[in-house]
Parts: sequence; C-alpha cells; structure tokens
Amino acid sequence: MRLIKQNIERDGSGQVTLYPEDPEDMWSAYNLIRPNDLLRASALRRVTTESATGSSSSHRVHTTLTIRVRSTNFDAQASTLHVSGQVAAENDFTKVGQYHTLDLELHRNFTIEKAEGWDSVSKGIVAEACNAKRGASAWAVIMSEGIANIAMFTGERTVLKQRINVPIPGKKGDGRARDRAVERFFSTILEILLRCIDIGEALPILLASPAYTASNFLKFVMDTATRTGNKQLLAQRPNFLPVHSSTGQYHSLAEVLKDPAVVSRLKDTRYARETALVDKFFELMRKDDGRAWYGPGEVEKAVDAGAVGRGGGVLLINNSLFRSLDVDVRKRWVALVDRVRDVEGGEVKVLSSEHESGKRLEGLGGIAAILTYPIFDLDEDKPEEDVQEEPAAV
Amino acid sequence: MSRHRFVKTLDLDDELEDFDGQQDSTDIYDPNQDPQMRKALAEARAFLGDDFANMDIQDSLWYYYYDVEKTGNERKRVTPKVHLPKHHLKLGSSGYYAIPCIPSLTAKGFFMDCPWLNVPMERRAEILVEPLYPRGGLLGGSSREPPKKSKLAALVAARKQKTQEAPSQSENSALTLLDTLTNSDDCGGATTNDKDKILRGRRYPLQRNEERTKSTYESQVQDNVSSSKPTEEVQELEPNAPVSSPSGFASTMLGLSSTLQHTPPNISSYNLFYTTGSDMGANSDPFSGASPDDIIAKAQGAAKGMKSKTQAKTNGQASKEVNTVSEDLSKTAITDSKPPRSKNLDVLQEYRKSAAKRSSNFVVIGHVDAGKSTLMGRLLYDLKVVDQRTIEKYQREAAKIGKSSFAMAWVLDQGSEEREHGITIDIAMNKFETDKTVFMILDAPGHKDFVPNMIAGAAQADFAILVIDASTGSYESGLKGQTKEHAILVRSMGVQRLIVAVNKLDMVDWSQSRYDEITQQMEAFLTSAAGFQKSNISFVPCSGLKGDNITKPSTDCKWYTGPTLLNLLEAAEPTSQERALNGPLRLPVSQVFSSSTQFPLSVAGRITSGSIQVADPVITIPGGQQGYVKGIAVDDEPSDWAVAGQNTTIHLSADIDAKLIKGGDVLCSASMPISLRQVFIMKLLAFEHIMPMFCSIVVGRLDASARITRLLSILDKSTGKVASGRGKKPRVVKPNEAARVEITVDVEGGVPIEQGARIVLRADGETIATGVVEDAK
Repeated sequence: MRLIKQNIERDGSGQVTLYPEDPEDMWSAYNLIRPNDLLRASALRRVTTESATGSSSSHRVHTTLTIRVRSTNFDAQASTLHVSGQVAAENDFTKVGQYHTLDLELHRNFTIEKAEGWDSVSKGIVAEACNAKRGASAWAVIMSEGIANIAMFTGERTVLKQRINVPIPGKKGDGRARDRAVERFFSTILEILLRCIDIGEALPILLASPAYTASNFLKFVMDTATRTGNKQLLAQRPNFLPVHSSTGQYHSLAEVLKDPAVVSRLKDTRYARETALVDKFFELMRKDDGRAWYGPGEVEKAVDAGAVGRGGGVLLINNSLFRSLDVDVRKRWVALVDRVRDVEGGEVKVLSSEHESGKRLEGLGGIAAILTYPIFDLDEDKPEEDVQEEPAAV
Repeated sequence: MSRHRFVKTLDLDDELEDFDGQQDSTDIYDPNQDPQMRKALAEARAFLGDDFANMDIQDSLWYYYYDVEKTGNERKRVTPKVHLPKHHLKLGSSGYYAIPCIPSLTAKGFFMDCPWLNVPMERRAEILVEPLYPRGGLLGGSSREPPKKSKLAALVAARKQKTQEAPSQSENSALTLLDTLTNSDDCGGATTNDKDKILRGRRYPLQRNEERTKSTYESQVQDNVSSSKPTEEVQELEPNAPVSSPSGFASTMLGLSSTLQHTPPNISSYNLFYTTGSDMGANSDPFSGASPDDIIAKAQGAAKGMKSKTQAKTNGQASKEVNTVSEDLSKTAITDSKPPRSKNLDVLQEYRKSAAKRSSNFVVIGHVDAGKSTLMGRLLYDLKVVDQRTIEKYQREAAKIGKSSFAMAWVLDQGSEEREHGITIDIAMNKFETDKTVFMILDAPGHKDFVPNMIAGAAQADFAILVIDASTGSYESGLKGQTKEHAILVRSMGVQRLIVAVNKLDMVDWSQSRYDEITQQMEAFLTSAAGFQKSNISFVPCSGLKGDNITKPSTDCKWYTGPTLLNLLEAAEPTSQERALNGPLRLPVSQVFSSSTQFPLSVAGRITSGSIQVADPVITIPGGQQGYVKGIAVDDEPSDWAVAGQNTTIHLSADIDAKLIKGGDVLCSASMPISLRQVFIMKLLAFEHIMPMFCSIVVGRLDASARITRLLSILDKSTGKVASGRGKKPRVVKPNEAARVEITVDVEGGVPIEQGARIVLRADGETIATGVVEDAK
C-alpha cells in the first residue's frame, strides 16, 4: 500500500488517500473501512437513460463515487473487498442516497474519511500497511497420510487454500493398492500446489508432516520434476523445507511455525513475532503464576489495576475486536489500546484474526494480557459479566 | 406403458387363472440329493418311530437340510397339533399349516373398507391391549426384526397344504382384516391364518424390484397379523423366541404403546426390503404362480449377470398381479443392484448357539524399538503360524538391507515403508489360536508420531501387552516417552488387564536385579499414575529376538520359573466388556481396503454394538453412502453374521463409493444411523494444561481437528461433582485435574460420536487429556 495523501486534523477528522498494490492490502483496507465511513473510489456504474420517445438505454460509465459505508465484505480466498453503501455526493450519474457497491481494485486510489475520526488503531493500520518491509509470504503444506492442507501465509494472514483428502487403504489389503493410493495422493497435492504457487517466485514452501510423509513427498516432487524435465520445479528445490508436525491437520501450523528451521527462515516476519508472543502467553498460563490472563473482563481489570504497563506488560488483542459493528464496542477497545500504550506504557500487539496466532487468541476471547506483576483473583465475583462475554469467546 | 400403469389396469382374477397350475412347486427338487434324503429319512424313521408320514419327515428334513435330530424334534413337536383342528388354525403364524383360502378373495376386496392410515378409532384401540407375541419363525431373523419365513419354509408350508386339505375353507371370507384383528378369540385364529395365507400365497411370480417395495407393506401386515395372535399354544411352542419389534405400519395403526416401545424404532423395515423378498403378493392360491424355487433361481440368475433389466421385463408379467396397495408403493425408487439373499438368521440366537472359542484381542504397546513387532513375530513363529520358509525369506531380505535383526518384525510390518525404516507405522493385525482361545494381535506402532494409530488399535483391545526394553538407557528413555503415554492411554481406553513383557533381557545378561528394578518401578507407576489394579498386572522376563519365555521357558534365565508369555496370554481373562448385542449396528471402520475382485470394497473393524448379517442394508457415516453387506468375515474366517465385540471384515456392495469411506467412519444399520456432532460436552482427565485451544480429538481411528471452546467446571475426582473453590468456570485446567469442557469439532458437518465414546485429546504431538463424551448435541 502506498500513502498518497494524508490530511488528518488534530481532532481526528480528515482524509487519507491510499494506493493498494498487492492483494494483501485489501485485508488492511478491510480492517480500516468501517460502517459510516465515507469512501471515495473509482466505480463502474450502469446508467440508464430514457430518451424523449420513451425508449431507454443503459450503458456503463467509469466514474468516481463517494459512498457512506453500510457494510463490507471480504473474500479471503480471492482477497477482494466489496464495500456497499449509499451515495453521499451527487455527480452526473448518481443522486444522493442511491445504493452502490464499490469493488476496490488494485492500483486505483481510494480515499477514506472516518466517521468517528482517525483513532490510533486506524492510524496504526495505515502505517503498518504502508510499511514496505512487511513479512514475506510463504507456503505450507501440512500433511499426513491421506490428508493435506495447503496454506499460504502473508504478513497479515494465513489462508487455507486447499484441503485434500485421498483415502489410503489400510495395511490389511493389497500392499500395491496402498502404494498406488499414496502416489495418487502425492500427485494430487503436487498438482494443486503447482496451481496455487507462482513457480517463478522463490517463496519458501514448508512441507510439514508426522514421520516420513513430507520427505517422501519431497522425493516424489523431485522425481516427478526430473522425469518430466520440469526445470522450474527443479529450481524450486532449495525453497522446499521439510519440517516435522505431529498431525496433518491445519492447526498444526502453530507447531510448524515454532520449528527452529522455520523460525530462522522466516525470522523477520510479523507472524513469527506474534507466534512467539502467544507462545509466551500460553507458557505463562501453564506456569499459573498469575501473570497471564485472558478474556475481556479480566484484561480490563488488569489494566485498571495498572498491571499491563511498563516493564513487560503486553496486551494481545485481535483485530477482529476492532471490526465490531457496534461503535461503542469498537471505541471501548480502541480506548483500552490507547491507554495501555500511551498511559500505562505497556506493549500492544494487534494480532490478525486471520493469522494462526490470532486464531489461537480467538479461543481466549480475542484478548489476553501478560502482566507485570501477579494478580490471582481477577476472575472472581463476575459470573454475570461472563455471560455477556460469551459470544466474543466463541 | 410403464409397469405401474400396467399393474393398475390389469385384471387380477384374469391373471390368476393364467398362472393356475402351471408350476409344480416340487419340480426343482434336486435329484442329486436323493440318496442323501433316503439316508436321512431312514435315520429319522429310526429316531421317530412309525407314527409319521414319510412326506412330512422329508419336508422337515429338507427344511433342516438333513439334520435328523432337528427334524425329529420338529416332527414330534408339531405333529400332534396338526391333528387338532383348533390348534392347527392357530398355528398359522408359524407359517407351516396355513390353510387354503377362498379363491375369490382378493386383496383389493379384502382391504376395500379399510383406507390405509385412516383406521377408525374403535378399531385401533382393541389391538393396543393385546400383548405382542412372538411369531415362531423357525429360522428366526436378525435380532431386531420379526422372524420371517425363508423360501424353503414357505415351500414346506406350501407342500404341506397340498397334502392336508384343511376343512375350514369357507368360513371367514367376508371378514376384513381389521375385524379379524379385533376378534382374535373366536374366529381370529382361523382368519388370521387365512390372512396369512392370502398375504403369502401370491408370492411367486413377483419380480424382485417390486418385491422390495411391496415387502414393506407386506411385512407390516404380517406383523400386524402375528401381533394379534395371543394364543397360548404359540407361546408355549416358542418360549424363547424373541419378541419382534413393531413394524412401521403396526406403529401407525396401533400407536406406540408403552409395551411396544421397549425396542428402538424398527430397523427391520429396511432389512425386510431385502430379506422377505418373496413373502408377498395377495393371491388366494399359492400354486397359481411360479414356485419359490423358480424365484430363487431367477434371483440368482439376475444377481449373477447384469441382466436385471431383462429379468425385470420377463417378470413384468408376473408383477401384474400386484394388488392395489403395493401398486402405490412400487412407485418408490428402484435400484438395479441386487443384494444377496439374506439367510434371515436370528443372529443373537446363532451367536449363543455357536460354541466358538473364546476370542480375545490384545494390543501390543510400548516405546519405539522396544521390540514389540519382533516379540509378536517370534510368538507367531513359535506357534507355527508363520512357517520356517517365510522367516528365512525375511531373514535374507532383511540382511540385504542391513537390518537382519528385524526379520521377525517383518512378519507384522508388511508395509514397504515400515520395513525400510524398521518401525511399525500402522496397526498390524494377526490371528493365532491356542486350545482355548482365538487371539487377535494388534501390533501398535511405538513411534511418537503414530500415537493416533496406536489409539485406534487400543480401542479394539480387551487387554494389553506392554513391552519394555530392558537394555541400559532404553528403558529409562522409554519411561519418559511412550511407555508411559501408551500405558495411560490404554487404561483410559478401558483396558484393565496388562501383561508387562520385560524384553531384551538377553542384552543385560539376564540380570535379575535389572528385572527386579524394572518390575518394581513399573508396578509403582502402573498402579499409581496409570490406575491399573495390582492384581491385573503380570510381568514376564523375555527375549523376543532369542525366543526365551515366549512359548517355552528360557534356559538362559535360570532364576525365573514363572509362566511364559503364552501362558500369561491364555490366563488373561478378557475383562468382560459389556457387549451391546442389542443396540443398533455400529462398526467403527479401522481400515478400508480392497480384498479381491469379488469384493472390491471391504472395511474392517470391531463391532461396538449390534449385529449384522449378509444382505443387511448399511450406511456409512459421515459419507452417507448406502449399500448392503455382500459378505462377512469374522477373525478372517467367512461367516454369515457377526455381533458386537467381534473383529469383522465387511465386504460391501458396489453402491458405496470407496472414495467416500475412510478409517474413522462408522458403518451403521441403514435405518438407525449414528448422528454427527459438531459440539459436545466431555468429561476429561487432564495430563497437560487445558485452556481454550486447538487440539485433535482421537476416537478410535477417527482423528479430527477440534477446539476446546469452553471450560465448564473442574470436577472433584472422587465424587465427580463440581469441585468447590475454583470449580466453576475455570480459566485453566491443570494437569491431573478432572474437568468438564465443551469441544467444537472443526469438521464440516461434525463427526460421528455418541455419548459414552472414549476420546483422547492431543495437541502438539502430546496427549493432553482423555475422557468420555457426556452429552452430544
């Protein structure tokens, strides 16, 4: 994302014009654009004109529309963002109040004006999105005999691209049938993987599995490449990185990201840092020394008690909380983040809910904190509040 | 013109005449069997004396397939009744003494005043008070359906009729079915008999496709008829016959009275589609159509070739005789694939009768490279299950790749990858027999990565052998590793009996002190941490490679005089696990494979509840594929049936797509499939910290991704109640605590899990908890 123009007043009003460059930027835009914001972008609109004789004709026009956002819709697989709303500024083709759905396009500017003003979180998103050194992408194939998950991870997200299930007959039957099935399984994975990745690019491809499946697959890939004379695939050899995981299920990605070989390969990326932080949190939970707390109520109390401040206090918060449709809820979390960062002096990590570490945090209610000193009774006397928090946890 | 139309327009009586007397029901009597018959007849004569007609005895002999003793008993039992008209009439439900009916009575006329599913109230009420009596089908039926007559039984009945002209022909023609049902006291017996016969009489010419659909109706009516027969005689005759469950039709007619509800909704209505193929048609004259043997011949022909279509056409004529009710029913879907003939066994009865050896499964567990497969290979070799030549071949091949010590293990490790790496990857199953017991070895992988496979094996086991590597260093590393994990896992899977084989003692020169050290430590661990009872653990020092103390006492190990491993196995009473013989069929699939061209798709597993027999309709869950059973093998021996607790291989029909069934699926009876659960509550015992987190759930062969979504409460381990203090809404469950949690499965549509299922939770390659499903919603 490139920042084209920024024009934010002290009171938070003002506009920002952005230029999205890669599909990942659409995810940032999705986190940035909230209902009631004003969005100005180029649009393709069908206009119907009626002639004097009563016959009508319609044609498509390229125009720039300003809409007041009603809802946003992000397609994770295709990385496209659709924003629907009502036209807020009249032009030659539209009247105020007409509905339009903008499909934000790559390499076309769009301008946002926040309805509630630019708060720290939205400014943070813009800054993060425009940071050129966001983590590199990588591919991962997590497999065990018969199942495979092909995932892509970028700076912000991990996306499960494809799940593959090939039945492999048991030990009991004919051994050759089994070998054939395994070969079919491998060739299916390879076929789909080649369809997903851009073979010219040199992105790491992590192959994770229990025991020998991953290394067998790598052998299969190289054998196939040699046999078919696929030079591009052969050239990918150094990018393949077989690692160990205990299952072939998608959630084993967490385990894969902890593998030292993977960490060293991806050490600069944001998700590696986030994964490390979430791991640290879970580690503290295990120690049960009162320094790790999760859940909205508990964390707010801990912040109130001044425990998430200078000297190691960390607030982990999922960006899904900022996407809440309820303005008050959004404001509540923004205020908490501001307070920890600016008043208390603690560290704030906004995790991407689409990322593996964010998904783990999601289970804990989307928010957790590592405290500077132990508190043991944060969860007492609040059974009724818990009931309210339940939806967030699920 | 479609067949349905054809059926609609046909003139029933016309058709009846066409078929009159054309077929002789005895014409397929196999002359090859004549000598056998003569011989059996002579024997039966000797057994019975001269009071019985040759014909009768022959009939019964045929029916019992020349089993003289059974024939004798049956003749003795039945003959006196035959001569008493009253009893005779009431025996109708057993199907043998059905009385010829009035030819003019057609089903159409019979049911004319009785709109289906619209039975007047006053008629329903009467039946409710009647207790449900068994119908004495001699062949019985599968445990959950009313006994039915086989083709042969029907044939015997038909022949019987020919020889004995019953006198009561003209009495009850005007009675409707429902009147019959309500008047069981005076004329009920006779009319029911008539009814029975009407229903059964016209069985022959029907063509199978129609039969399937009609049979629902048919069997339902039969159910009704039989359930309305509270005659004492019948009860006396068949004191042990199972009470049949009400059919769907009967339920509709009668409502579900409390007396009927003790059985789950009728499974049999499905089975009947296949099993009572020809017991139908409403003809007053049983001899007007083809004989049952023709039908069998036809069906067999159809089943063999793919000419079912033509078959249908030639049989089309016969199907004209279908009565108006079945006409509607026949419009339902018809498939071409023909199930094999069901033998209609009463599986539970068969199971009780069968004097089979005790069968016992045991799982072999332990740390990787403890020598589990080698120990079992040695056991099989010493018991001559594997011959010398095979072992020599393995030895040569193993030596070729520099793994000569693995030769014994290759008996079980058949996979190329397993041999290459010298480890077991998946459960291997091998059978051996001693004088008393049939044992099934489940050789589990010891490697950490394959713990889910080991769990799949442990789920099928009655008891376990824990193999411990006694050599220096290996024992210690095993104790931290899978020795410990496996022991805890098998215990939590319900295994109570454990044999600890202290292996590789030859590596430490049969040191008794080493053995004592290991036994002491293991006993302490197994009784405290794993929760085994001391009396249920036994130890044996052995060497799998050398064969000491496996089947014969060791010569090197002088200080040990106790039983060998084989003695211990024989002594191991499998803890009597409750076998849910009466439940609906549940077969968790552990393997899917193709065994031969005859059976392109087979599944193996241990039945957890219910029973199954050839031709039963089944459904795979979650695949939802319906098909039927083509063949069954129990402990690798072909069988006609199988019950809960047996290791079963089911050969499935081609209706089921092999791509849509995998290990971890559940094969169910088609009428009572297991339901899929996305969210469930379970009670667990934690081994690691439990928080809301990702994990995998392992249930037998099923290994699915899931999340712990809520921690509901910490439980007091002794009382099982919510613990005081931080019992409510904990934020973390600590190791060794019991808790109740909510699990959400990350599988679209959910997984097949039932209440009481034993679940293992794993995360990051470790077992974090085990538990039991409390409530699935």
